[in-house]
Amino acid sequence: MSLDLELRLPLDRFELQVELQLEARVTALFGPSGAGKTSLLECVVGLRRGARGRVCFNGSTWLDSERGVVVRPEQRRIGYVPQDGLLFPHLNTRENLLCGAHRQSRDQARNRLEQVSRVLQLEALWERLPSTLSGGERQRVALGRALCSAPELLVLDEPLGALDLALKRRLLPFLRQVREEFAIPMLLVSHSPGEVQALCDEVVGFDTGRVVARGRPEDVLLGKGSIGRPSTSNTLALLLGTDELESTFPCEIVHASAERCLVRTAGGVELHCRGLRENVGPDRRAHALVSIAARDVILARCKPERISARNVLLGQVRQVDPSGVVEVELQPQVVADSGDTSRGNGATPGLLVELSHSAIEELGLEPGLELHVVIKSSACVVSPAQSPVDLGAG
Amino acid sequence: MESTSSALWLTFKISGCATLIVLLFAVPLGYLLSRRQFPGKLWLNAFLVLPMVLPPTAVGYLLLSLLADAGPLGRQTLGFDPDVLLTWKAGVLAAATMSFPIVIRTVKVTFDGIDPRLEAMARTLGHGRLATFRLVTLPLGLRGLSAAAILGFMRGMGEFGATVMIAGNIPGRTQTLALAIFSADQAGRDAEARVLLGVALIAGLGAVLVAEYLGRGRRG
Repeated sequence: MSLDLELRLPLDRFELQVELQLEARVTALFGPSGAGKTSLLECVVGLRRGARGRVCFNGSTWLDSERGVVVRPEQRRIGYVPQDGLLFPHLNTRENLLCGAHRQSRDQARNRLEQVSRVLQLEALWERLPSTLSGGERQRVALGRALCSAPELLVLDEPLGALDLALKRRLLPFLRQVREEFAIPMLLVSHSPGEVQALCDEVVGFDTGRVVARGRPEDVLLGKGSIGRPSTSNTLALLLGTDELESTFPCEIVHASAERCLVRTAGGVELHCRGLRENVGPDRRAHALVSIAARDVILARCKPERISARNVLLGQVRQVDPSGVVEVELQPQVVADSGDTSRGNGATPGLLVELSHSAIEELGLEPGLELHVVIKSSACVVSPAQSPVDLGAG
Repeated sequence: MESTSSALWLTFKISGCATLIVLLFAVPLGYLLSRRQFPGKLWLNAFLVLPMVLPPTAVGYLLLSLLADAGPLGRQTLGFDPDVLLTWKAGVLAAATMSFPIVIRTVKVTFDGIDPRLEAMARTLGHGRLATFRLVTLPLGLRGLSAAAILGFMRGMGEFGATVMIAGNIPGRTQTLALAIFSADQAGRDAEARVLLGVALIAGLGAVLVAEYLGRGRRG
């Protein structure tokens, strides 16, 4: 996709000033609350008056205040999912899903409805009114409604923002699956490092109405790629907001039981994880996600032996941030033959590790250094793709 | 009894027509007042509510001056006879004017209660303004709008002061229920007045109950 933004919009406390050319398939706007991210999204969608500048998407101009061009929101073909879903309360799930279907032929609309309902597991909810749906179900329906309108761009405003951590983990694989199954470019706002890592090709760091960083998710989370600010650690602190720093990768489940679980990530890294209480069938094993909190990882210069932690892996330091966050590239134990190649080229995941300054100094951490990475299996949390039954109570 | 049934029929006819006309203006205007900010909004609001705070006879006198032969809407100004005064159409005009404030206030409150973001959402799904109104605003506001219509209808049914000023009190032509009760009482026809009172009570009570039910929530 190509989305060119050149915008100025006065907000309550500051002016939004953005100049961005976005080309990645999935881009996240990442930053603290009140940074102007939602306002920027509303300018793209066409719901915000008073913006000056230009918005162009794939060659068509949506806004050009100088030439007086303003394309109406109904003509932009954007699938918009706001934070609270905004389902139409008087329509049931199926009617909500079909609200945007009039832009396609009857056959196309029916196929789309079936495909979306299958991927997001919505069929069981078709007859229910929004007031009877749980928070997670509502967000899935809102996402489904946007997809059913056959959009050319998906705009998601903190799609999981209103949900608690457990529910977030359960819904993230859905978003991941939407990313894989529908070739629609996505622009999303997020507070959550895990969400950004699991979904995005590029992250744009945002603060008080301006772009402060831009780059690969791991880079921006580490404070690299910052623009106009010398201190990277400040950027990181700003960007992180309240969510805990964690790494989230797509993976497939190799083995799962109540006691233990083994997953293989892109690039062939095998991780022993916390056991899964539920029974995970073969159909749900391919699109799982694994999350590891940055403070739960230990780095060692020599190989620890007779240690209780189940994961002792080889890794190489990619970068060290002065704020005390290190990115380590995990080395595969097995050669990957068929991995997820959607991010990079099946590259091994970059694991974020939070360390104290003294630990960084003592270990002499610098890019390129090889070391051992120790992670308890209980610190690796797996979220399998969901089945409708699991989500009933969600 | 014939006069009672003709008064009842006239009342329904006048009040029904007045309600339709009022809704035709009050729905778009109420939507505008609820959704948009514009210069002079306060004044427009005050002007629209005016008939509620003025004595009905004052409103009637004002309408009479407008429609009188030499008035701005009279025969001499228009060049033809609009033939409104002392006909049932004058009754409609009086009822519409007097019920407008209560209808537009109810309509505005109804639209205030509908999240404008839902309408914005419908726009992003490819619906234009009118289609959005049909898909979201109208179904969500249906109860409120029905309540507004019923309140307007009842206000029109009870209208007396302005009606008597411009439509007169002509049995069989402009004499509504309210006027018939007055006439029956003045002429000492107590039995007839009591029957008319009973009819008015039943109609009024039914309408209030329906309005209450509709006002109780979108999905009762």
